[in-house]
Amino acid sequence: MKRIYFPVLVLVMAIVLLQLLILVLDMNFLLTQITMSLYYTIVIVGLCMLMGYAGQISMGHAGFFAIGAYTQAFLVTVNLGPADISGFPGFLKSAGLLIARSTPSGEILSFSPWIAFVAVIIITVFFALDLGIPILRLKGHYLAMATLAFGIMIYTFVLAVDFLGMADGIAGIPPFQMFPGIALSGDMSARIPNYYIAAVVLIIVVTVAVNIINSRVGRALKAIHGNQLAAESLGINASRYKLGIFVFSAVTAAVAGAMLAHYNGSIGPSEATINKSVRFVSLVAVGGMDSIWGVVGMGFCLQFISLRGVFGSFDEAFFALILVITMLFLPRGIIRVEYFKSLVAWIRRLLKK
Amino acid sequence: MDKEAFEKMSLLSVTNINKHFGGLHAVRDVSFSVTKGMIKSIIGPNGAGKTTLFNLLSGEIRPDSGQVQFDGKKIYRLPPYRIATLGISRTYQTTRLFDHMTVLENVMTGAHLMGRAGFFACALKLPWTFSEETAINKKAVELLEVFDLLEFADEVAGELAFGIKRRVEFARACASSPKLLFLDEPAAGLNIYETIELSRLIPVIRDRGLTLLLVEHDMSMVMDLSDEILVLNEGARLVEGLPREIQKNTDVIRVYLGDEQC
Repeated sequence: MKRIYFPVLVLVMAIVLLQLLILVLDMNFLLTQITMSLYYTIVIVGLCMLMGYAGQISMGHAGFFAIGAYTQAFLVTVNLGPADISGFPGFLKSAGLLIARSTPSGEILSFSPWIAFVAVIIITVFFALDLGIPILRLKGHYLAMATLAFGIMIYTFVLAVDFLGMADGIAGIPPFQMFPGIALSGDMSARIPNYYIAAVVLIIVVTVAVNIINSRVGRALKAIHGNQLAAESLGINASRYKLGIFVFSAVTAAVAGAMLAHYNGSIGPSEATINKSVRFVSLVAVGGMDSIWGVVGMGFCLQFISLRGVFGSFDEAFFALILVITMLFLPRGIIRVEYFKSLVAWIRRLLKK
Repeated sequence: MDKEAFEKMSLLSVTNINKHFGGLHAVRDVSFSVTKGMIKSIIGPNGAGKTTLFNLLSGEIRPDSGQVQFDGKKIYRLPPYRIATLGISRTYQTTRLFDHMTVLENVMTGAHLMGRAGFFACALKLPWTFSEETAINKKAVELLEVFDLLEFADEVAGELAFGIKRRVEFARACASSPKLLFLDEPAAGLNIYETIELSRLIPVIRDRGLTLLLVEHDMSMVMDLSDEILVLNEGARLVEGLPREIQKNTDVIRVYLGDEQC
C-alpha cells in the first residue's frame, strides 16, 4: 500500500523544492510558465490513463480541453443583466450563484465560477458519453480518426461561433475566488499561491489515477488493453470500462482547461487545435504510455521548455519530431522504472569490481 | 430418468445450434448436454467446427439459431462478459494472456467477478475496497499454488515459456470461480512432460467442483480423462458416448482415417 504512494510523496516534495529553489534564485517570473505547464500536465495524466493503461487513443483531447475552457470562460463573462437587478436574479445573486463584476459598460451579473465549474463537468461528461458510446467500439486507426474528427469539429465550432468570440476567443476572464483569500488568477502578486493551486489539483488527479491503476478497475483496463476478448471472457464489460476511463480523461482535460482559462484570463481557438491534441499524444508517448510517472515528468518538463519558447517557431514541429523519434527508438518512453532498475544493477556491478 | 430431473443434472444443454459463415455451414444442428461434475470432450477432424462451437457457446460469435441453456438460464446470444458472469470461463488454443501484466495480476484479473468496486470506489480507495482486494489477492495466490506458479508470480506474463503461459491461463480461468470451464486444445504446443503435467492438472480442476468441456487432439489424453465424448464431423454431430464406445465406433474411425481402413 505504502509502495504505491511513495512516488506521490516524491512529487509533493519536488513541487515544494522547486518553489523554494525558484525563491532562492529569485526567478519568480518562471512560475507563470511552470503553473501553465502543471495544468497541461493534468491533461496529459488523464490522457495517459486512456492511452497507456486502457489502450484507447484520443487524437481530440484538445477538444475536451477547449470545451472546459470555453464553457468556463463563457459562463463567467456572460452578461445576465445589470448588477442591481431584483427579483429572481437578485435572489440568485444573494445566494452567491451569480456575481457582479465591473466592465467598461458598468456593473453586470455573470455566473459564479463555481457554478461554471460544475457546468463544465456536466457538459464534458455529456459530450464524452455522447462521443464515447458510438466511437469506443472502434479500434486502432479508426478510433484515432474518429477522435481526430471530433477535435476538428470543436475547433471549427469555437472558431465560427459568435458568442465564443470567434478568432479572438474570450478575454477578460475574472479571477476565480475559490475560497476566501484564495483566488485563481494570473495576478503577478499571486504567483506563488497560484502555483500551489495548480500543484494541488495535479496531485489530486495523479493520486486518483494511481488509485485506479492499482485497483480492480485498473486491472480490468490493462486487461482490455492486453486482449479484449480474453478480458470479456473473464466477465469484464469492456465497453463500460472504456467509456468510464474516456469520461475520466475528458473531465481531467476540461478541468485543466477551465482553470487555465482563469489563470490566463483569456482563451482562444489556438488551444483547441489539432496541433495541441498531437502534442498531448506525443507527451504521453515520450513519457512511456503506461508509466504515469514518466508521463508526469516528461510532460511537465517538455511543456515548460516549450512555453519558455526554446523551440521558437518550430514548437509544434518539435513535438511531432519527438513523437516520431520516440516511436522509432524508445517506443516504451524515455523514463521508465525498468531503466532505473537496470541502471542501479549496473552501478552495483561496477562497485563490486 | 424423466425430463425434469435430467434438466437438473445437466449444467449446459445445447439444442440445434447453427452457424453459417457465408456459404459454409460451420455448425449444423448440434445438440448435446453436459452433466454437472463431468469431463466432456469434443473431438473431430480439422475443420469439424469444434472451436467454432466453443466460440458460439462463450458468446464470441453469435449463433444463427438454436437454444443454449446454462444452469437454468438461457445464454443464447448473450454478450461474452454476461456469459462469463453466469459462470462460464475458457482458455484459448493459442494462449491469450495479458502479456504486459505480471502473472499475479493476470490471475487477479481472472478474479474480477469476485469484486464490486467501480471507478468511483477505486478512485477514492474507499475503505471497503481493501478487504475486497485482499480477498482477490488471496484467491489468486491460492490458485498460483495449485498450478505451481508461485515462483513466477511477479514475472511479466509475456516473457514466460509457452508451457507456463498455459498454466497461467488455467489459473486465470479458474480464478473467476466458474461452474463450467471450456478448454480449447490445452495440450496443443506442449511437449510430452508438459502434457503429462496437464493430464494431472485437469482432474485437479474437476475436483475443485468444476465441470469441464474439452476440445483436444491428443487422443490418449482424451480417452484417459473424458467421462463422455462428442464427435463432430463437418459441423454436425457424428456420435456421442463413452470413450470405449467411441474407440470402437466405425464411423469415427472412418472420418479420422478414411474409408479404406474399415
